[in-house]
Amino acid sequence: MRSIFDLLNVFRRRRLYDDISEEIRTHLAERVELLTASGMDPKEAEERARREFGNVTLIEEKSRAAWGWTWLERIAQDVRYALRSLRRSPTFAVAAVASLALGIGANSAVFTVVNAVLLRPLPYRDADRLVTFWETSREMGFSGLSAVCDPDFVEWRRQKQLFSEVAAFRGKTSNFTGAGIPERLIGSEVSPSLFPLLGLSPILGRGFVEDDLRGGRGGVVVLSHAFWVRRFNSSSSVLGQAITLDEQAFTVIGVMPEEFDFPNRAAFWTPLVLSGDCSNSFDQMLARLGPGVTLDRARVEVPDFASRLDRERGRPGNRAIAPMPLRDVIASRMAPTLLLLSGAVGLVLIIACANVANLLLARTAARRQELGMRRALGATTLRLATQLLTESVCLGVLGGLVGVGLVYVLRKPLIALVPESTTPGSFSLPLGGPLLDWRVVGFTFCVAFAAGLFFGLAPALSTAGSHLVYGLKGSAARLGGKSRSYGLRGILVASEVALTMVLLLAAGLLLKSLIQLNNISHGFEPQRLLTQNLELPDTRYPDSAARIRFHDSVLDRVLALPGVSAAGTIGFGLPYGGSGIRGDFSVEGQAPLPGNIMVAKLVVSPGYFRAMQIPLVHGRSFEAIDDSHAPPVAVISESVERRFWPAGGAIGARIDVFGAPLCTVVGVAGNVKEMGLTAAPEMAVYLPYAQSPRPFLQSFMTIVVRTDGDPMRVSNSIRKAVQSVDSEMPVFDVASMEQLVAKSKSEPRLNTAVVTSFGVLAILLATVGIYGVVAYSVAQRSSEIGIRIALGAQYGEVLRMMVLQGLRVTVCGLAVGMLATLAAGKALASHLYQVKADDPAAIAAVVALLLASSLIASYAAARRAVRIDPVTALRAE
Amino acid sequence: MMILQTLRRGPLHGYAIAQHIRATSDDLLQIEEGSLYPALQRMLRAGWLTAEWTVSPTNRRVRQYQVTSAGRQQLEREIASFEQMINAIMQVLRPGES
Repeated sequence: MRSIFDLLNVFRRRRLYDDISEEIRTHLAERVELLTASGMDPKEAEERARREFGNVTLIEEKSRAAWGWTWLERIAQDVRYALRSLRRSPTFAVAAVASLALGIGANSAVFTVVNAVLLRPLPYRDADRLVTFWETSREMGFSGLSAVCDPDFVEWRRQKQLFSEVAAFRGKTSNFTGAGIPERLIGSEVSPSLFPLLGLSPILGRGFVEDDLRGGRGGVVVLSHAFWVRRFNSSSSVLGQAITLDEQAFTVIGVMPEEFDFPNRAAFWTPLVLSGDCSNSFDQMLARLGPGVTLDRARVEVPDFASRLDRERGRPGNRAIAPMPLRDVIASRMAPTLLLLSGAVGLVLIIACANVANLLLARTAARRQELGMRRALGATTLRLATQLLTESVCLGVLGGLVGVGLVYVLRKPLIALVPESTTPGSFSLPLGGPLLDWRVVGFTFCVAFAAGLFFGLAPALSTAGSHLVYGLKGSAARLGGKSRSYGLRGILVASEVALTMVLLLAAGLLLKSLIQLNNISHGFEPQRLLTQNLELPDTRYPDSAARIRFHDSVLDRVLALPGVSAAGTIGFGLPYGGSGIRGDFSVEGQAPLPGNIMVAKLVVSPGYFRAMQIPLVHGRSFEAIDDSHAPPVAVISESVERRFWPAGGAIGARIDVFGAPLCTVVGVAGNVKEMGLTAAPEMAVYLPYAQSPRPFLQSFMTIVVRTDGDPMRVSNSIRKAVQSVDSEMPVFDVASMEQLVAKSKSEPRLNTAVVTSFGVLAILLATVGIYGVVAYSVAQRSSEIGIRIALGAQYGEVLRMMVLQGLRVTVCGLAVGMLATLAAGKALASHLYQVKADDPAAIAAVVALLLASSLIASYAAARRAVRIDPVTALRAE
Repeated sequence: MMILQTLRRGPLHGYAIAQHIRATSDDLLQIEEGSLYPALQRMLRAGWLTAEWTVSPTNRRVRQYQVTSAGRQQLEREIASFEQMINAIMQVLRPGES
């Protein structure tokens, strides 16, 4: 209460102070009047009155101090003084503010991403009460969002004691046709409860109601804002209009708010029609914890109920299902990268601080006489230290201001760095609201303030604590060699070197991993290969015969195109394509694989191996004769052969891939990285498209085309060739194989790029720091050097002496850095590929680089020493 | 305590308070008159006094201080504790008399 009152009084304090002054003047005047009235000489009376009163200024100050604002005034005064003195030395101010702005800006930038991913509330109602269901398979080590069958979802919805509401959704892709260019859309089938569960309603029209589920499959659709703007010009007349998705008419009933694309970049939503069939588990679930239900309680009860459900349905209880907050699912994907980046920017900030501390030390050394004078006039150590700290905090806050400005300009590209989800079924990061919110600004200023205190502390203490006489005498003490602040500067620079070493080594290791990744053999030739996807809707291509007809005529036309040297197709499972079908597999006459080992099941056209340049090790590839009437055949990967026929003899064996009929192995193909670069090559079984035992496997195909020149150049003619077979067939995800490979490396590449640029920044700062230490020492010891030279020392000797001083600092830094690096290496291990954290080549390279740069910096600074003219140097005394 | 006691009789301005204390203490307490003012400011802040500008009998603009009820309570507390202390000292000096 009192503090609020005081705060209000701050604005009235001028008047209060005037009151005190006036009162004291009146007091004195009255006293003088009384004394003169009793016959005293006016001058004497005045003197007497003042003597009796005491020190007027001091009493006035004490009276003011009673109100307790003096500390505030002192700070304001210090800030004004600090800004004034910064203006007086613009070079120093610009150098310090710029390096702080970089250091602080980098931290706010990373924090902006951390904020968007981890801290900002998700744009849903009571988002921290939303949970998903996370499944961990005990045998296969698989973990991910659980998918359940429709009757299970109905059971989960009944658990009212746990959840106030449960919604189901499943991913869906559809061909959007009948309105200009055909397009393939990502969408989602959702239960009517989903939108209310998230606390969102359409901005136009309505959401789903239970009635929408009757009258057959589909019927109504809700559009995303982005899709509505792009394809319907934001027209409100879209309501009630029919659109065609996969040959079916859907009536548009609503448009969702901007930025909403749950679960993952959805462009439309249709109602999820439940069946009583429990053989397919496609429904992912989102639930809101019931009132008073804690996450801990859900963690106990959800797995219980899940295993009870499994028992009732007679399923093997080999999985555990637990609730996981929606936020955690979204964040888990980003956490390792963010952790790495936060660590790197933290180091950069510390290095920047050390550098500014160095600048400050040099500056305060130059100001020693000024400070000594103020001390002589009665300033206390505390007062001087506060004043120096105020100056450094001012610098920090200025740096923070510039840093926030940088982040504001760069906020959009920053958030685009968040890697897009590549696994289907996970959630995209929901955006919405300003990226640069109060958290980011608050964080930046806390960092700026803390940085100001941090780098200001050493100079403040060293200067404020120094002796009055030493300060005033100034130059006389310089002959003594090392001063105390030189030691402090040495420690600062040594720690800069140590931190730089950590950063550079991290950069080096990441770089080496990336090079290893680039040298990986894919098992096929990714150059000059174009890939594009087609999806055949059931409604348009109801049976296998129709699909094979379409498939064959598209391939014929593509092969006839100029610039195309080979072409083939593959169903789900293009390497680096992000999809795939895996399952169990057995060989006639051999024991089946244990349940946790699966093979990739790939459906390909005869030309696929040639187009991809996957070598055939034994036997033959598929031929045109392997059609739907011919006996079923298969090609296996070398890894399968090694596992089941280590002594050879796979050709002619019969294998069970999708049940009866069994297929005969006709060939063995080289291993291919199916699952991305860092994954081990998988076992794979190839089946011919025409013999695909499941129609579903023929509904999706990737056309791979080997071209003579730049693959992107033929993409248009391929699209035309496809659409000359079916004018309403969208061609999507057109990309060269090299782009796909690069995309799978995008995260390591991003990490490497960011850490390397921080490393470069760090080595620049550290080099400047070393230069500063040596240059400062040269300046401090100029008279000593002058005497040495006057006494006959060789220039070379002097030079060596000064350079060695710089090197000594560097070597100390390297020794500490080596220890720090070994600790940091463990944290980095998960980001490395086939590189150990203590890779000797990388360490040697970093040490050599740092030594070289410190040698250059020391030499550049020390050269000034040999230019010292002994006469001038000595005369300066 | 002395200031509060002085002001209990009625509102006074700073110089008058100083005069009064000087007169009543028979110049025994040699304190700087000036030290009155920081004390007054502290008591204003604590809410024991209120102040307002008026015109004095000598036709000067002066600030009159007045004791508030909180100030009066404070005075009583201080007197009570002061008396306790005096009593304690007295008991030590002349044991058995009281």
